[in-house]
Amino acid sequence: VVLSLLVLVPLLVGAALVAAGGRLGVDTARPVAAGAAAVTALLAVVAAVARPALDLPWVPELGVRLHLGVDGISVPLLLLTAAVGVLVTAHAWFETPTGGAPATFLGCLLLVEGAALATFTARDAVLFFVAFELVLVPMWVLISRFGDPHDPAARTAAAQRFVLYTAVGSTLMLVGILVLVSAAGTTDLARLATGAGAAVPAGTQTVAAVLLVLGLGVKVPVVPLHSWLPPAHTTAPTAGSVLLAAILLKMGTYGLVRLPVASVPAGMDRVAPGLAVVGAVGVVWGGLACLVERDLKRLIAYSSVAHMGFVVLGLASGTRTGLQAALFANVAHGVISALLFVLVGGLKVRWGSVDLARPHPALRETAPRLGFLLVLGVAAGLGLPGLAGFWGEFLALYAAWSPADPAHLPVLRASAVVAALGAALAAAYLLRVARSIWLGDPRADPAVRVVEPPAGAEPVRTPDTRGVEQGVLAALAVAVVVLGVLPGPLLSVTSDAVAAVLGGGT
Amino acid sequence: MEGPTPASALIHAATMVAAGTAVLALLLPVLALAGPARWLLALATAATMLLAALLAVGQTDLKRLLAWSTVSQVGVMLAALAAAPPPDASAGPGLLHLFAHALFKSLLFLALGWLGVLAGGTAARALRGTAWSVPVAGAGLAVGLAALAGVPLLVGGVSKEHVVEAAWEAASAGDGPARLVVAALLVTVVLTAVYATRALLVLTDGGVRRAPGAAPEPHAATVRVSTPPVVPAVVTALAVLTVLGGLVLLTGAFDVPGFSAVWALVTLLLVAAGAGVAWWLARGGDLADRLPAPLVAAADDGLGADRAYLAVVARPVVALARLVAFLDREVVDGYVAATGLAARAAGALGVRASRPERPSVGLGLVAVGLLCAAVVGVLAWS
Repeated sequence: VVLSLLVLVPLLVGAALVAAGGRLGVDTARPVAAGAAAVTALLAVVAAVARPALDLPWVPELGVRLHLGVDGISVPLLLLTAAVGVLVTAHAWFETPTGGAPATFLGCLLLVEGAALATFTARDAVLFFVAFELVLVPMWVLISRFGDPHDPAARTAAAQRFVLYTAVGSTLMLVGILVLVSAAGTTDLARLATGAGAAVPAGTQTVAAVLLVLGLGVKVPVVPLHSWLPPAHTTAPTAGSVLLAAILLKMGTYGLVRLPVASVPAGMDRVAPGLAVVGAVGVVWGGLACLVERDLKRLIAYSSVAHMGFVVLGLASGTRTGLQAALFANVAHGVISALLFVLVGGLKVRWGSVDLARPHPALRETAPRLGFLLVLGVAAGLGLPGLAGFWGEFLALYAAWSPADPAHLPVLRASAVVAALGAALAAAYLLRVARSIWLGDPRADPAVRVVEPPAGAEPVRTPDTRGVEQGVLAALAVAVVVLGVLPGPLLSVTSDAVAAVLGGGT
Repeated sequence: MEGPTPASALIHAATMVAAGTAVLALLLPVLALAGPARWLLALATAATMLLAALLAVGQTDLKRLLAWSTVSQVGVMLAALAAAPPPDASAGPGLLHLFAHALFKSLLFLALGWLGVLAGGTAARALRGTAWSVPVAGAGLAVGLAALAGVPLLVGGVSKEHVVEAAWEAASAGDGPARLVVAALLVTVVLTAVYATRALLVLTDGGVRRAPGAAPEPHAATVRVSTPPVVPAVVTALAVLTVLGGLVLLTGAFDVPGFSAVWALVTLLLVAAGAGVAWWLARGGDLADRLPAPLVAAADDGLGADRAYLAVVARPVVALARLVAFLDREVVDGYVAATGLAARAAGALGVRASRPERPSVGLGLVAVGLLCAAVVGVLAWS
């Protein structure tokens, strides 16, 4: 009951809000959406503690069941999704983008959240795919209707690219799922993980693993399948960027753990070296792209590519440590990038653009609270020990140094070295951000506290953060620090489930 | 070195220097077992302490001189670790020097920063003769520089003497890295005495003796800075610690060989030789003024290491980043954009091919599609 409510509350309220559209005023829509998100968060906590399950026949002819369940791998993501849902609906009080009815905007946020929750609780491969696809449409609406109001053409292009790119990836994934399911004879993820998948002949396993990794790699995203992400992040509204970074990307890695890693161990073992290489390349590629990127939102999007490279590297190691690292880095990246996107989205609202090449007044002078949070986010992003970003990356490198399959040792060690270099790049590009935004540019006079306006425009003030925005930022900042100082609870939640995933496979 | 005075004192004396040496001291049992690693460390530290000491001699800025002396002294600490041979390697001498260096280097940075604030800069020219005007700072600098040079009984002399003695014992037992370290150490002791004496002579230059604030530099402070009483107190405390710090050996906190009068005498002679050379070369002025101008310029430039890093690391990385950004935009994304264009072109072709007046083409396409579907179905079934 809890699980069905958990998924249904955001989906139904979201659908109702979208259906109401323009007839519902913003003052009604906001409390309704926030209330639904809060109820969902409570249900998520209950689900995380009680670990209920729901199992109903759905399409009996194909053996597909409506099977929802919770285990150690889904609990952190469930809580992350529910918490981010609350934060983005609360953030609507600070920023409700123009471009459509506020109820539609909030409804789409809830639909994304509900579908993501369904993805993370699905215990059936086909149900997983359906939930995975369900996210696309509301996300497309968020980007194409509610995105950056300054540039409609870029908005449309980004939204179309997002939908088509990820839909192609999903199609590959669907083919992979069908290959796997038809060979194994069951769609149940638990049975696939505990032997039904491993019994499939090795050749078929490899085919399924390649298809699944390619399909899910689009969503993660893995270089070179990442080029939908920067435009989508750049044009999406703040709440959309947060959902993209904190939830959608996680669905990709979650899928990788659930489907190829758990179900087709032999196939995954063959794919692992390639996956490790693209992971390491992603770390360096994303870092280098960040080093010369001018648009701050795009920069953070590319840094997501780099961070997900570490996640992929951890997965490729095939060890318990690696899987744990991947899951931890997943959650940490969700929190850190949510913090950075809320910050940068706020700056974009204040300044109109976040071009690093334009001189900005020192944020530490004009808006000290925003400045502090920016420095915290940047420090977490570059993997400073004591903040959330450190453990996932450190453990991923550690795991890649001693992979499960000794045959992959040289490739994975080389990847680990390259990825460690990428971590140095992260320091370079994030300190560049801190210098440009936090220390500011002496050309922009801090005394007047304005951004130098583009020709003919009014000077823009930089009011410090307060109210709802400050609350959202503070919650994320606390999460960043807590995850960094106390990584133990999260790691212990995932450890048993990870052991089950790997133990069932090998 | 460009940091504010307290930051310099902290970085050079305690935190950053301590971090590397302390970690390596903890890992000493591992290091001692790895012969090639010990050779590498010995070579690197020998080069570091000699080169940095030479650069310190030629600096036109006294704070920069202190910064280079830190580099050289860290070389000494790590060399002590490199010279500890396997069976019962002891990090004691190296850690003792770390402790001593923290005391006298923080004293030097704080006292020099104090004078620098009054004189409007830390360049040797601005500080000339200022030691007399602020006796506490001058005395602190004198004690600190003597400890840096390694005058026996001061904390720096005690620790340096132990480092040399321990390395000599290992070297006379036939240990290769230790021999290299001893040779480099003995030269470094002389060079350290040279630049410490040079700094002292500049600061106490009697010929120029003048009040601070009347500095010749155009940017000199015109406002007289009042000194809060805590500053002389801190400097005095550190100076006392620098004089008495050697007593820490009585506590047994450091695992070092016993005191050796022979080595104390040898270091004293080397220090005296270095000081004499510096005094003779300076001839009542600044030693650096007597050196050929290109040498001083090269020393101030740190032998161009910064520019080398810029050229060898920073520029290529940024160029690579630009290449990646270009590839990302034009090549990786190019395939994606091309897919869209290709789909559109195929659509246009399809529209042209299936005009209503030519239904046969449409029927043909449907037939091809059915055939494909059938083939896929048959293959999938079998």
